[in-house]
Amino acid sequence: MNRRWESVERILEAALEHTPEERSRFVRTQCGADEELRAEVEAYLNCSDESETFLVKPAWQALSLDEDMDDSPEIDPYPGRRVGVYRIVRRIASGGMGSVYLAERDDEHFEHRVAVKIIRHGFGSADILRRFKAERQLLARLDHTYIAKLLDGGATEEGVPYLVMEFIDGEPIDEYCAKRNLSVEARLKLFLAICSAVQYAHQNLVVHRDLKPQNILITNDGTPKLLDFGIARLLQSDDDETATSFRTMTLNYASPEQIRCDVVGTASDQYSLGVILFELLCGERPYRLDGLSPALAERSSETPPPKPSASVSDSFDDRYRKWLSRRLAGDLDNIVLMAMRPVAERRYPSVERFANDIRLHLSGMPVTARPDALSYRTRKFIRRNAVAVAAGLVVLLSLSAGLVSTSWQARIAQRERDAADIARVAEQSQREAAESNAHRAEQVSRFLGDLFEVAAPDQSLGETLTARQVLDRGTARIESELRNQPKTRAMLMTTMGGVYMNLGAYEEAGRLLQSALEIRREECGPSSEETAETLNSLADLAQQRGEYDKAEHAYTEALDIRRDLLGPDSPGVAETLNGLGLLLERKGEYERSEHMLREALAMREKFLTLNHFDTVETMLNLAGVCHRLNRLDESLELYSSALALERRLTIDLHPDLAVIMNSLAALLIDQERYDQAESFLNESLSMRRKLFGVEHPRVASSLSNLANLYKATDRLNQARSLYEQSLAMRRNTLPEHHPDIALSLNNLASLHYAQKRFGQAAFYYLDALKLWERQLGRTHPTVAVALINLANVRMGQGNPSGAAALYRRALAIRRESLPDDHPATAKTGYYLALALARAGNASHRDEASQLLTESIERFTGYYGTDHRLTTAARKLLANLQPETRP
Amino acid sequence: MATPETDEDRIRTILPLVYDELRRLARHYIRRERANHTLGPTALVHEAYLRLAEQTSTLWKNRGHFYSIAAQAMRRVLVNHAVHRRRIKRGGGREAVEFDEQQVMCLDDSVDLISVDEALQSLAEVDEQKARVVEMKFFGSLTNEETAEALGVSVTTVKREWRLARIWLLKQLNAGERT
Repeated sequence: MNRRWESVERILEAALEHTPEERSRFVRTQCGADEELRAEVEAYLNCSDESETFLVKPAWQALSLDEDMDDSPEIDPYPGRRVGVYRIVRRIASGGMGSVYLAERDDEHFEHRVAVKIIRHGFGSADILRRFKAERQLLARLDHTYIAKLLDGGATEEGVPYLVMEFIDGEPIDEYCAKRNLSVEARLKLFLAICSAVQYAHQNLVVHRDLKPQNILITNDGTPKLLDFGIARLLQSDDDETATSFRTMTLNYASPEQIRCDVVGTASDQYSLGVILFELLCGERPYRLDGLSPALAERSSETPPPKPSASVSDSFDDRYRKWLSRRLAGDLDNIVLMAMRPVAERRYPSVERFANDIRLHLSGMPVTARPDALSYRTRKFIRRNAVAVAAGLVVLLSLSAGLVSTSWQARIAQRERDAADIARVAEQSQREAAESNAHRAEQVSRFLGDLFEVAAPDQSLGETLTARQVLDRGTARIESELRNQPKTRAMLMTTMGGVYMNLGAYEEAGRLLQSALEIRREECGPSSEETAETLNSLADLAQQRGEYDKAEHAYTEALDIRRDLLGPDSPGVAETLNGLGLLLERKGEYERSEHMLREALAMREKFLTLNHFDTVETMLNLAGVCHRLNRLDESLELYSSALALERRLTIDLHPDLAVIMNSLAALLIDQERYDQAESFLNESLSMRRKLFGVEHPRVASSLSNLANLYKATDRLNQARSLYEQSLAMRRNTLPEHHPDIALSLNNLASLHYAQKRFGQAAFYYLDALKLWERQLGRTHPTVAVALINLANVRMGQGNPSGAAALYRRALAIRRESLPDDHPATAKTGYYLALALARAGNASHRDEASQLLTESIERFTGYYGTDHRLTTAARKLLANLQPETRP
Repeated sequence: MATPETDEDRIRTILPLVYDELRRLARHYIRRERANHTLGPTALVHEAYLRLAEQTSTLWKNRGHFYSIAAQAMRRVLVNHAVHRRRIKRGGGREAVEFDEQQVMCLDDSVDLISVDEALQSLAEVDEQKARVVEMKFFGSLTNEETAEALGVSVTTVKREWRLARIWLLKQLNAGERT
């Protein structure tokens, strides 16, 4: 026993025998001059009252009240258990698909060791079993010295599928070669043996799909054994979405077509073999794809890899590096890169031919592989950007055709309703009627803009630069050719500004819109509809960039002008009100936002009817505010109507549909309807990838919501990887201080928190907090969330005083920004009380008990008397109550 | 089943059984709460221990030994469970801003099992016997008599250690830092 504690304990125990009043004096006499000792004993005495009720309920009762206990992944229940006729001995490895165990046949007559792979929970056991039955024959037929045999399969008593395989005692090929310092020739020969096994499987119609060094074991006597043949296919579900198939493959060795989730054939195995050979020869991998987003991985893997001779590992000494580089240059470079060509059809026709080339090289004969001649990227660009290129040409054509080209009339007719709206507005004012020509021209360019919005591809991909160049050239022409037509010029600049904005090219958009504004103020007057229109666009831009004050200013000015010109009730006013409403929601002023949006919706229904994109847009924004205000049912109803209307209005693939599904899913997550949410999210994500390319702020937003869902359903590692992708994507595509970056930081932090990595959680929360404070101001409701999150971490770190300070600030914000009876406010109060109680500072006891009294009242009203929160608050209050402490 | 050699082996062996028993306990307890069942929590635990002891009778030197191992296994299951359960249920807002309200979950009695577990590890360094008393009584749900039997001490000692240990732990938790 600890000496110090021994003396403390002796005095403490004796002091407890005295009445509370006498204790202090007793301790003082006992401790004599030792102040430190006295203080310590006092500190313990201070806890004695509270300790009476501490831990009196056994631990299992506290837990049992939460929820049913499901499976706990921390405990490995398998060792010692029987699975089929096998008894599990110990775990050998864990991976994405599940865990592999060493097992023995359960009759003691002879020793027979096998590897049992228990498929991780959640892989759809029924599917796997069905597919296993279907493919078992095929897999069992693979009988090759270098292929580990699949022996059996089935399900445990709980229905968890498992596979039984030949047990191989060996080490992964890369480690094997490195440890033994094998020569280039020895490595090539070993590799040829592997090729023969892969070729054999291909002839039997089995593709491996997950070749990697960990699946190629070399036994002590140098025999290679390939594991898991055909298993990846077995574990892939029928309706495989991008996200789910990712977990079964190893990115570093996956072929581009696999990463794209295209059809995978034998050429894909060849590619993986190419990567393995690359690594075996030069000691480095061609790419590092681990941890990259699917999008980035796809891009990287589609770039032709470097030559092995140029990638020789730094870990070798200089002389050997030089020698090895020369040894690999030429034939071996060509062979490896041929197997790794991004386009499957341009690789070797078969693994056999790949192996043959290696054999030719080993015998000093000329090989068939040659460097890739055709630039893959060029072809790829044209295929991918057909729409964008076409749209770009359309802009050019229209500009050179003098704007109001008759050839566009037919197109305008397609948008009759829009034209009719414009006509209606025109009737309202003489001035507008006089300029109806301009309106028509505007319609043309707006149409082009719309076209571009749909075609707008991922602006960060190298290839889009060219699409962007098309646009840039168009802009240059506006500026050079329309020098003498300022009004038309400003009009087109406004439209082009909108197109740039949709592309995410905020700088250029800002420049154009700002010039257009100056021209229009000059030429059309500061209070003209034209000026208001450009102001409105500038406000949209500022909002997208996260510059909320600037946006509000511009919207307000536009609103004033439009109300003056068009009266209180008009499509123009509705447009600005809609923008302003959305902005106010972003700024956290939910009640004002709701007011604006309701007004805008009423106007749009009146002028545009329900069957109009703009009406649906406002409906959506209103749904968002209702969600924020915690009126979930109302929000759900609005989202559902919007989705139904939108489906009638648009083609199947449209950005607005994706927005609706994304938002609807966020709501469903809050209602804990996870399955529905997941299907909407996946649909929205795949739609956005098709529309915007792989890297775009909206794709990032979908990824983030999907991650939220994974987190809510306990798939934490998947959630973390998506959060990281989303954060990286936002950092790449948004301005430096955009609030959405803070959102990603916050979400990532919350994941670290969930996994108890408090240090990292605090790090990211703090970044998010700083960013939000900077962009939204110190009293924004979102800042309150950030403060609470950080405070929770401080609690987890055992720093209740630090937490209390943060909760207090959050509470002040919530009292300001939320309706009085909002449960979030009461919760914050409860947390503050909890932190104060934990900090144990007696002077805060009154504050804590007042907070708890309030919270209990709110909780009772909102959740009922028996809710977990209500009882927890009541108990905490009861523990605070006795005023016995000095 | 091969005979385990060390207590660590024994704990690992009975973990799945303890886990099952705890699930059963939890279910019964909730049902009891709802239906005002007569069987109290102590009786429930007692039953669970009986079943556990029967299933694993070959593992134990004596009853005290069994209690000690079982309490350690219970602690491990419960703490693992608490760690696992610390998860997040909901966000708020359109692109949900995540806000973890689940931290209150383990604080149902203002007790956070994970913190208690950590504090208990510190206590074991300072005063092992006290830590074991807490392990048995709090995590293992054992009575004073059973705890005394397992530790080979008197019931009076158990009571005394229990009182002081809780004061020690509470101070530790309130300070939130190692002393």
